[in-house]
Amino acid sequence: MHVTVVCRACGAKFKVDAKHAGRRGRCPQPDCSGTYVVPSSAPTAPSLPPLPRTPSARTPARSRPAKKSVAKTAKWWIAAGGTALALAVVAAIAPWFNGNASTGGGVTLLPSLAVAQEPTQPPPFETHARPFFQKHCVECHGTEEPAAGISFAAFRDETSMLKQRKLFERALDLIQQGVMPPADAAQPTDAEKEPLLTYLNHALFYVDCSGPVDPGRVTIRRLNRAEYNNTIRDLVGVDFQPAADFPADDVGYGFDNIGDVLSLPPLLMEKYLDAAEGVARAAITAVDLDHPPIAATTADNLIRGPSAHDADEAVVIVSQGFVGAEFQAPVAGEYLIRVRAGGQRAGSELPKLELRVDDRAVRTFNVEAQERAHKDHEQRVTMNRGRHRVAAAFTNDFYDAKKKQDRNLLVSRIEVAGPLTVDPSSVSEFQRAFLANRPSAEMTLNVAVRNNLRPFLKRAFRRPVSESELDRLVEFVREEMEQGQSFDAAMQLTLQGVLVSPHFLYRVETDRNPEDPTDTHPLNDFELASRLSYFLWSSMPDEQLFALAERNELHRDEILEAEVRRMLADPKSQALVDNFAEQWLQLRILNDLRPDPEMFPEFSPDLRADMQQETKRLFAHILQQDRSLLDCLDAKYTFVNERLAKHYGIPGITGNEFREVSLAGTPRAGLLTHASVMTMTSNPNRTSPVKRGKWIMEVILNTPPPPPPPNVPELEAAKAAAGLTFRQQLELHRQNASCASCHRVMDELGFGLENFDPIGRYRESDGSTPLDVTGELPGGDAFAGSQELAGVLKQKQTEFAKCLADKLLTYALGRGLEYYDRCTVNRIAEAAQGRQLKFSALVTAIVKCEAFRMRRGETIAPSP
Amino acid sequence: MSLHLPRRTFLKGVGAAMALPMLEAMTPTQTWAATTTAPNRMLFVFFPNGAIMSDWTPKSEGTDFALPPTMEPLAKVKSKLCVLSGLAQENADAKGDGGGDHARSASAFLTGAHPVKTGGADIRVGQSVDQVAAEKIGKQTRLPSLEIGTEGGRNAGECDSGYSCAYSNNISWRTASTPMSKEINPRLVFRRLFGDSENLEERRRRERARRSVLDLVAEDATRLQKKLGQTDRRKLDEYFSSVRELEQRIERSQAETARIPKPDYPEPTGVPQDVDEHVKQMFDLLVLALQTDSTRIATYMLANEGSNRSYPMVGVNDGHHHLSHHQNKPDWIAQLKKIDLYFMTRFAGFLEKLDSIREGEGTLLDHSMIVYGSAIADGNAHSHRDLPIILAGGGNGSITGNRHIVYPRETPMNNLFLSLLDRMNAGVEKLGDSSGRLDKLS
Repeated sequence: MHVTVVCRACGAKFKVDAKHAGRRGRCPQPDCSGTYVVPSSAPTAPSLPPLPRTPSARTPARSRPAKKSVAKTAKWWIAAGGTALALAVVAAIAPWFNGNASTGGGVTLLPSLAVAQEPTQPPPFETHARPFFQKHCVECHGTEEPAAGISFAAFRDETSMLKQRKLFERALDLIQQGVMPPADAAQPTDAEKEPLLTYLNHALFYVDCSGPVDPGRVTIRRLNRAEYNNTIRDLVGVDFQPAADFPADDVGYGFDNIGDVLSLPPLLMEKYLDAAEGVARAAITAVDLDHPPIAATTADNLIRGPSAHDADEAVVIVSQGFVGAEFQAPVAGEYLIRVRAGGQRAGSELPKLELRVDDRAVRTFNVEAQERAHKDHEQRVTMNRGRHRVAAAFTNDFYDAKKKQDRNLLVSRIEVAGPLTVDPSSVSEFQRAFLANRPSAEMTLNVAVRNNLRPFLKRAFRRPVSESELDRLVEFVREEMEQGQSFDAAMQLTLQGVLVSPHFLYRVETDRNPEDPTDTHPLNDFELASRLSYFLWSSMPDEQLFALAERNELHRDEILEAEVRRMLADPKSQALVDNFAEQWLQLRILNDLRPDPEMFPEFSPDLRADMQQETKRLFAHILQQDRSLLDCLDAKYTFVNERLAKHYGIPGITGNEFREVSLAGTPRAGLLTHASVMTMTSNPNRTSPVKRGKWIMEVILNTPPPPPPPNVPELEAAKAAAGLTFRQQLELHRQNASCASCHRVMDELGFGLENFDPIGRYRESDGSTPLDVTGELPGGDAFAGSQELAGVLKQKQTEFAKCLADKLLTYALGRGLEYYDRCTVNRIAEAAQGRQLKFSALVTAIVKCEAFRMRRGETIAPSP
Repeated sequence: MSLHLPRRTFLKGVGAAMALPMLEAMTPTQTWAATTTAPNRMLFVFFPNGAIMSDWTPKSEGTDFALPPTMEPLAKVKSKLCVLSGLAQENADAKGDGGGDHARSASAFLTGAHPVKTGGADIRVGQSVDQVAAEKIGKQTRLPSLEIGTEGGRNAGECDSGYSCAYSNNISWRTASTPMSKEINPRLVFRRLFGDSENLEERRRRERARRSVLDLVAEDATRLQKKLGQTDRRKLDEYFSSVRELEQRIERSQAETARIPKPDYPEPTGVPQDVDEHVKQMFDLLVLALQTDSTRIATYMLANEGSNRSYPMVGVNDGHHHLSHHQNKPDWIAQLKKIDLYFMTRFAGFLEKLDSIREGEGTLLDHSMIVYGSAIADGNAHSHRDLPIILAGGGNGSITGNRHIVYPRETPMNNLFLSLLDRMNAGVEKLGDSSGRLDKLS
């Protein structure tokens, strides 16, 4: 049931779900900042459960389950030792989450700002943090030569502490892991630790998920290489990957589409100019119909057929024969051929000149001109674009033996002028539209340029353009023509200009108050269209998205949902495979890997490409069939070609094409057993359980282990007797407490995959050493081999869902996520899990979240 | 005796019709200003992951030092280089930022600044020494500076412990926040240096067109910038300064009447599959760039910092970064020495080539200053003190070679940079953590 709302600021009328009655929202009109209250003409929405004002006021019934989940999750993550903030923290601060966090159903009052709830009483610094700092930190991190240059003496209260947010995020992490205080110092009891962890989690990460969502702010994004290529393809219809020569885009937060990281050094600007020239040349054939160019071939350069001989500044054809010239027609159309020729007469006929184009006779002239006074013989012909041969043949040779008179043909020049007209069906569709109007008696230059550019610029800049922007371009064309350029050439240059304009190269989103972080507002529909299209297609919006934006309908929930379905079904969604999946799964790392050629002569660049292809196919299949992303973990099917099938020992596959095969009865299932993943997580000459475990923690669970401390202590194994297996060496390594916390998880995960060798082949033993593929995670999950490991991971579905939400949201927004995005990530993960973690569910939840649909002004940092 | 005669006076006295060789007396005795006819050059060649210092540091100080094992390939050019010990890039230290020594060392290498730890937002380190020079004197040549390497960006995951890949993949920073991307394709470097095979008229036409286009878009950017917030404006500044640089380059090019010199070197076809071939071609292109005076400032990253490339051509099939955490295992150290020696061999070849090319009274090497090194000493310890640094070339007579100079421990490497900038006539008073100029070079 819906109620009608009228915005008092702009007068817009729209409908809102009545269940939000009484709540405030923001007017959906792009340029309106008005707020409204949903009238309560309908039954009131179920009220949110009342929140306790302080943790102590919690009812036992509510707090106990929450506490239980803290203990359980925290145990795994504290033990896991990852920088498991996003996960551990969620559970740990559960008491501060209010009920609205789990809307999950995806129906949000958007664009809306939910009513802020009264915040609960936070635990104070004085009682929860200071005593711990005093007792356990300042001894090393004091004022005098503080360890690592960090002095806790400076942190007297929450305000001073929060100025070093990153530092304390790290501190929390280390204390949770048990890395700090270090093993050789007195260890805090759990009773001492808990208040501090509670306090830090709250102070650093508490976000009221029922309050207004901070959508964050995305930095202006330059198109990256993939986006540039695709955008050019869709804008101009030129598909030659002009960005192939661009310098690599730097990566931040795991992806190469992050606005803050994409810079524009002079080298790249130079490449943009080169590319724009190339694209403009390929897209437009500039012809000057008012002054058709003339391609002339003089006697010296004429191609000589049989019986053609040099004569004075001409070529004489003394018997049946010809002379010719090559001509490159830039475009299909009419051309004027002009042959300058004269004859030597004999007998009753004049010398005949047969004009041929590509060996086809076009016309025959009787050459009246005499040997010493050549004349032009002209004929209009239609030619296709491309290379042509124009020839003048002498066809009626005659010799009067009595009079000793010889009939000959002399040719001194062949010219082709044109095009005089252009065959419209021969130029690209782009050119027909871009040069649809030309200045003429009926149409001024101004009108012609405007009409041509208006629709084009809207697509190139991905927004409507103002008349003053068009003025400037009309002026540009006029100036170029005054400099002697033809209309076509001036337009071609304009195209170049558009392709290096900041409005094209950057995805621009604007704010009314760019420097007011409290001014949160929805994107306009054109900005939203670009976010959608670059997210799902790595390219510009298509006609339908533009049309929806034009009608200001795109931001509506049902329209967004329909568009997501349509866009995912479009072949352009392959961009998600090529750009998102490749980076999420770190497949690009394979490009730089070279397994030891002596140990693995089977490995080849082709096999490497096949490995990548297999993994991409699986992801593409999940996307296209809208399957559950859990298939990543345990799909009993995969995609192989002959080479890869042979590598895996799967019989009966021939040919280079990939096809789906069942993995039933084989030891393989899911990504973890793909040769791509197994190879990229190996050293060139042996497997690395550490790297494999790290990959799972980063890619599947989103809990990247912190980097090893510098000066890694020598492996105890080096001192111990040789002959230990690598596993035994690693186990010794873990006797060192500072290594143990992370390696206990990483190594164990990796052990489960030891059945796969450094290039991903199945093995039962490593040389003569039998394999031990058992592992046990802190918390008691035990497994043997990859299948059971996959089973354990599949139980961590919530973590996996949050991991996917986190990565895909980062990619969708083009910015790193902040602590305040946590509510959003949780909501997306929940919504997706509610629909079996189908790919479309994940994407839809992202597209509908505030971070995707809104932005705000910037918090201005004090200058460094 | 030192008698300075203005050339014009001298010619008047003798009669201007005679073409005369320059006389000694007309060459001022004080060096390094623009007194010799040859220009001075400043290059930086970077290798990642540190070096095995026991085979790097000469045993004795001064002129009589014997080349340590890693430097043996340098025998032929030993007289024209100095080994500098004791220099440090302390800003590559963690300073509370935790892991990420590789990212920090590459970004501090030529900046002497401490990078902001970030995966993306607010990338900031400092302007690098080459770009200081490029800004001041880059307009003397067609390209203000040249940035090349052999490894593109690592395209997945984090590069190093929470640092954006921009830090590990670049050593040249145009501003504190804009790295200068490097070119890794030899063919594209060649084209950048020597242009397409177009004639002068075509080039003029193209440059004129480019100029109009750049004028047009600079206006767009100016208007756009007014609507943006602080960070976005900063991003757009990169756009402006790149446009400006291209405009200046076109201006300089149009002042030239001659064609761009075409070297007697085949245009490379692309990125070679073979790493060794790639490394060599890039060195060759550096030689060509100097020989044709296309630029006087260049940086070359032999590989990105933290690179895990293997070097099978010298029998190293394991990854470089992996090996660099050698834990003092003898076999790992032996492998690393092979990599050190490999890089040095190619570097030595480059120096020899420069030394074989005559220019005025000396050779290209005599008129260059080439810093070769890394901002990590031993990869196992990730130390940024006592760095492996070689300074090759005579700097137009301003540097005396054949010496092992030992500076007090923790002497900022940026002191060396100040001294080099002076010799490029691009002096500044401070750069990064510099505390003064480096003595003992002349």
